Amino acid sequence: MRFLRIIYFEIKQLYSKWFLAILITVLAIYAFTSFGVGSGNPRLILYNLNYLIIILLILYLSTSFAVVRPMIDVVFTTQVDPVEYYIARAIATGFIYPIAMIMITMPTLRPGLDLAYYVAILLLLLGFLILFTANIQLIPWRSKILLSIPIFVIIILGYIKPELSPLYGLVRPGPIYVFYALALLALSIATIPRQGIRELTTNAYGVLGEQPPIMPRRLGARPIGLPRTPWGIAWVTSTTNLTFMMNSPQGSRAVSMRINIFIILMPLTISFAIAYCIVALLIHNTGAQVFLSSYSFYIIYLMLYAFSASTISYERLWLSLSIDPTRYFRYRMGARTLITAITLLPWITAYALQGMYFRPAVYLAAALVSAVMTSPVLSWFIAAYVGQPQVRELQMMQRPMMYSLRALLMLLFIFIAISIYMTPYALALLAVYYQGLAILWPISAALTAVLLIASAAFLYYAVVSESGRGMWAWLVNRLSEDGYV
Amino acid sequence: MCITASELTKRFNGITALNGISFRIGCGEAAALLGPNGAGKTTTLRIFAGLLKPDSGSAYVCSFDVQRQPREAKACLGYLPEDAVPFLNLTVRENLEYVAVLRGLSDSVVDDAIRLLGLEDLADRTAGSLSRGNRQRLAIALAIMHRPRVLLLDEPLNYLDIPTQESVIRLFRELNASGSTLFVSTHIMSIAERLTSRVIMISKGVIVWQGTMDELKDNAASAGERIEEVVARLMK
Repeated sequence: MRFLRIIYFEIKQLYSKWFLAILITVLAIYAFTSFGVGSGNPRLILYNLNYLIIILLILYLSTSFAVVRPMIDVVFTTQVDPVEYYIARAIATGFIYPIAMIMITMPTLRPGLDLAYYVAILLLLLGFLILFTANIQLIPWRSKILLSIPIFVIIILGYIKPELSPLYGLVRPGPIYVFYALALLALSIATIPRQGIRELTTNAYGVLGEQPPIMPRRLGARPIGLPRTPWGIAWVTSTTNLTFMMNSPQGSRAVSMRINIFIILMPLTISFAIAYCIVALLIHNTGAQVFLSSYSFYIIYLMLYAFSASTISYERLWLSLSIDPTRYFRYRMGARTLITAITLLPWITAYALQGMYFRPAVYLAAALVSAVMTSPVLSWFIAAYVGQPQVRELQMMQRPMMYSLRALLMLLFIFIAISIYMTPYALALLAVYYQGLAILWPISAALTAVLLIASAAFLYYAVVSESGRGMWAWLVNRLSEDGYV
Repeated sequence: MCITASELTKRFNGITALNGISFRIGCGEAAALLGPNGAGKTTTLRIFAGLLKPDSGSAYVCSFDVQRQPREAKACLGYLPEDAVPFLNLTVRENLEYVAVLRGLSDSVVDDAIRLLGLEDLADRTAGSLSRGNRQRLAIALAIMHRPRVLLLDEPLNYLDIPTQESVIRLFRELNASGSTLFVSTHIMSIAERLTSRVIMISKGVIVWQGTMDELKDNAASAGERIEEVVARLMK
């Protein structure tokens, strides 16, 4: 009973009633309309499940911090069993999983023994996904990558060999998939970072509060002194700050260090972009090229927004905005846009190269250029509108991120925006598939030009023009209302 | 003894915050922990609250080692951190209900806590919408709702208006009179004088003086100084 009540209060903190009501309505409509399609096309259902897991992973891993300040000030000062609390909170955090998974797989349901298998597989897989996501959130980076492998394998299997994916058990239930899901749940229970959780509850200020001395030379940051120009300060403070979990002899620690972010980001984007180019070169099938290019663009776009928005939590209004908020934001956004451009340059190049033998990919390169010009600014406005909490002492948010109606609206906005960006690409695809629609090529090119010009105009308005003052004033006001100091 | 520190040492990146401090506070006593900024007061309280592990030494609350028997120790104590942050997305009442669940208390304590801190009018407002002072009242309610045997208070009157300060002081005194041990970290002498009868003074991580509040007042009287002047001299 106590366990359930903990889940209840954690859910109350994380989700608004409106968010849940609309989410359930949308998914119910989806389930109702896909009843005819689902039972005859289990692969489609599986693809949707895969897609859902990817979106939720990006959402949870980027916006919902595992530890928030009230946990330390209130929860960890009580005698509650830390592992019990951890599991309850994981269930609350992953509350969208059961709602979405049931709605998506409902069209494949059949009465009889299959239903019993389905329920068993669903419960076991939910346990696995919820706990595994929480485990990945809490552990240090080195182990994070290792622990993410099973999830990546499941997602990849879902596309290349669906029968081998445990999620297939939800569309074609059977006893083998029950054991498969059971094994995964056992894996997630075995990987609960019990030691880390206990250490957190008895040494929270040690784990989260202790900062190691700066090691600037090795990590490529400036050892002392900041540039003397406003642009120089905005650039250096935008590029040499990063918070992450690292291992230490005492366990994992959240560390905010002066690290040149390019040292972390560039190897990642370059290596993934090279891998993408190699895979794209090896594929000759047009359908596979479409899947690869559109899917990768989707993921990059969502990650761009999620991570770009998260940085607003570290802003300090009383300090940064004490002289001229508009000037500050313009410099900061200029720096952020440049960082985003440099970081995504390998991907823009990759799509452009792919465009040499799969022409529609060129339009994704152009779409990414448009996104670079708009997302650094828009992501902060979205974060402020949604009410993303400020990070204060201990590198922690003051409260958990709440999934509200505003969050849902902004999610919708992001999906509409991506649809607009991808329209030239979609038109080009039509031209590829239907030779008679060659007229669509110049339309795609014209639309791309319009999008690039519109994005550049937006960037000019926000970062260069004096007339953008009103929008920054709105942001300052909104952040103050969100409790930023 | 309800609070025992035994050779507590804590360093942060080579800086010694606590350097082997030891003291004992009997059950039912009320002691103040005084010291200049950065003396190690908050570090000491966090160690006793089971939120910070000392590098060496032990901390006991109600005879339980806070690191080895954290759940038993935490069941016995209430902790009010400096600038406490309650659950900002929950209402005042839900905050109290949630902590009642975490501490295994009946729901009746919720109404008691609301009444004690005068939170009736704010009960259905979210904590995030409260002023800093009202948030502090809620934090005090969360810390005392289980009538702890040991109450650790870090700057308890921060942000409170004068009438609320008076009622909160009265509340803490009543708790102390009914058997709760108070351990108050503050740098405001008048608060220490009104809430406690014993003083532990630390500076640069070591205890520089300890004794009763009356002894401190006698020292001030004999030196012809104000009590704050005596304290300032001892802290140097």
